[in-house]
Amino acid sequence: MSSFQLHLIQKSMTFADFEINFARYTALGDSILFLNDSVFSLASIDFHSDEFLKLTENCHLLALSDHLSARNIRQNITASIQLIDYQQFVVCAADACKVISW
Amino acid sequence: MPTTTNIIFRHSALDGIDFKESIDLGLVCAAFDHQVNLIFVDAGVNSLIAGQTAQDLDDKNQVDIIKGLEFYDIDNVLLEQESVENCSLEVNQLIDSVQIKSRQEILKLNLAADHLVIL
Repeated sequence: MSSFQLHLIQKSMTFADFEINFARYTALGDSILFLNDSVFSLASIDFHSDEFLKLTENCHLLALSDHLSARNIRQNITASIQLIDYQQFVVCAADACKVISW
Repeated sequence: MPTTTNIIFRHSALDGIDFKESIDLGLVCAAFDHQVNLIFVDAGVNSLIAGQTAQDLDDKNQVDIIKGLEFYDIDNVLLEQESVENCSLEVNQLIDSVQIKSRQEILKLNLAADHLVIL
């Protein structure tokens, strides 16, 4: 059984809110998947900052590709975020020891 | 070893139905012998201010059930210290039998839990 947690971020949030929730729920090596309206957050300047990259450097950052395309913000996200499709989402959820929605 | 379920309350008892649904979930989990931790963060800590009277809004006083949770084997009602401070609350304003934990302590509890539910 894998030991990483998969965090599903579904709503757009400020970096300050992300930082607080990150401190409450995440551990080293966790995966964080942005989907639905949360992908709007990724386009904001705070989610391109060094602060964001440092905070999440030990996590695996993911975003659901179709949800970015649907909102036309695919070009505006940082390179540290891996785009995945639904099949990869399912594999990731199946591999995780725990799935947590914020 | 019992299954541990942590339920996070982020909204006050009078803000929508999340409070009631979270309590219901906690009671169901306790009925199935889960170790249940109710954890109040952000505006959720306002739910535990003593002396609230939802009857003034023609609503049932949901907060009262917190006082009776021990009869359902839910003994851990926890508040995040940082959220309590952000809401400018003092401990003496809160109902009895709640415990205040730091964000770091909450993280440890969440990482140790089998299930974490955030509504």
